[in-house]
Amino acid sequence: MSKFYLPILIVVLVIVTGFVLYSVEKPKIAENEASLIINYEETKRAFAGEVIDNMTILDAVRTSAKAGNFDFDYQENVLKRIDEIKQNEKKWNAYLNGTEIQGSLDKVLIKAGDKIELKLE
Amino acid sequence: MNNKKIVLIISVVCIIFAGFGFGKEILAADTLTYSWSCTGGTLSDPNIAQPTYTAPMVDADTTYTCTLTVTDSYGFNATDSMNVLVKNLTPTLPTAVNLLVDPPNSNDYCGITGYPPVRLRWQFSEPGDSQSAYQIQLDTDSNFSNPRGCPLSTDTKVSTAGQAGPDYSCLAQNLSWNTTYYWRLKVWDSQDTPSAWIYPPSPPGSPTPSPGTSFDTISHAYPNPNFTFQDRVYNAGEVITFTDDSHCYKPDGTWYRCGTDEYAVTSYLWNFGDGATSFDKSATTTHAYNTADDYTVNLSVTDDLGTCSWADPVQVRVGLPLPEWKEISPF
Repeated sequence: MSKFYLPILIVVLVIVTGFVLYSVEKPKIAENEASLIINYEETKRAFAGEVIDNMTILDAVRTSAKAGNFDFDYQENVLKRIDEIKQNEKKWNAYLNGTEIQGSLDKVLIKAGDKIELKLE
Repeated sequence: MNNKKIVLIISVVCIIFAGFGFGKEILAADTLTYSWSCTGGTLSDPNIAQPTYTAPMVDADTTYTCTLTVTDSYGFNATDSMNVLVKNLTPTLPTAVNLLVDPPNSNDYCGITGYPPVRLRWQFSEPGDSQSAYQIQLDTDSNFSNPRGCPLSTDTKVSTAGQAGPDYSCLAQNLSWNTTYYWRLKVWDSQDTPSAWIYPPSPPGSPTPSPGTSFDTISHAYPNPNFTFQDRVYNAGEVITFTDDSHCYKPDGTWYRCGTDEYAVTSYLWNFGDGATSFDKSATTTHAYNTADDYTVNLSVTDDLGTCSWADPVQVRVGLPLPEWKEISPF
């Protein structure tokens, strides 16, 4: 291989590798979908799906629970448990597009493109 | 005034009939004879111009007619009459009739587990007057040596001011299970005049002598249905689990979950509000709703004595079908 083609080959490899890595790390979310991330501190789980009219954050948690086969306990406007992780010293907080939700999760409507995050903190 | 026989006041009506008008057209020198008659009562002298009329005793207001015939020396006569209203001014004593004890029923017995809530009823009876208060004595002794009251234990006069009569009742809140009781009643009218003690059943016109008819309380409380479930919004088709927490009672006062039939054979009726029912007596029962709506879940439990239903139904709202989401790689 000539010295002329070696830099070109390296550049092409870098571009292809970067594209592949980008494709793996960035899950495809359609325009009519929203996403939900559960941040367990040490691990994360993510869900995505279609948003329908009048869909709330709690609806997103509910349909994610069905998809991810996890349990949760939402009582008196508080997310008290996800799987076996209950609120003790730390609380499950909900964020919508980076802004913490202070009210009831079943009162906040979501739309396509929204990013919901549940954090234990 | 109690037990005092009040003598009927005789209304004495002095009727001065001079104004009847007779004689105005008769010569003063003429000799007249008078003849009085009345349909009731007595006259001091029916053949004088101004007799005294004594009204008879009456049970109710009564109208009598008195007639006067005047005759002159030529034999000519004229007659006129007038009505006399005799009123009964006798003060009457209050009393009560139709004293009875309600049989055990769901209205009074459901939701009360500490005592048998026996309801006592009566009708106040005094024409033209109303009840202002009552006193009830309940005792296991027919001599009423240690009476308790109604609705509370205190044996006292209870005001009924503002309550429309003549039907009254009291729910005794201090009795014991499986016990025989005697009871008696005293009522006060609007003038605060009391009756004598009245014993059940005392039908109208026939007071019952002491101690009257006794009654027995039931052996234990009615069932107390209850259930729990996770209070949240459910999706159409989602299975909802209801956990039974219905208490049934034994004569010793302890309770058991009705569905176990530990003391008496019970029956359940779940009504989920969407037309579906179930007779499931298990510790948990499930149901799924197909349509988004608000539903009321009712549970009725029957034991050996009666039936009670969950008094405060829970509303279940079924949410719209949600789209299916998928799990993706965290980002």
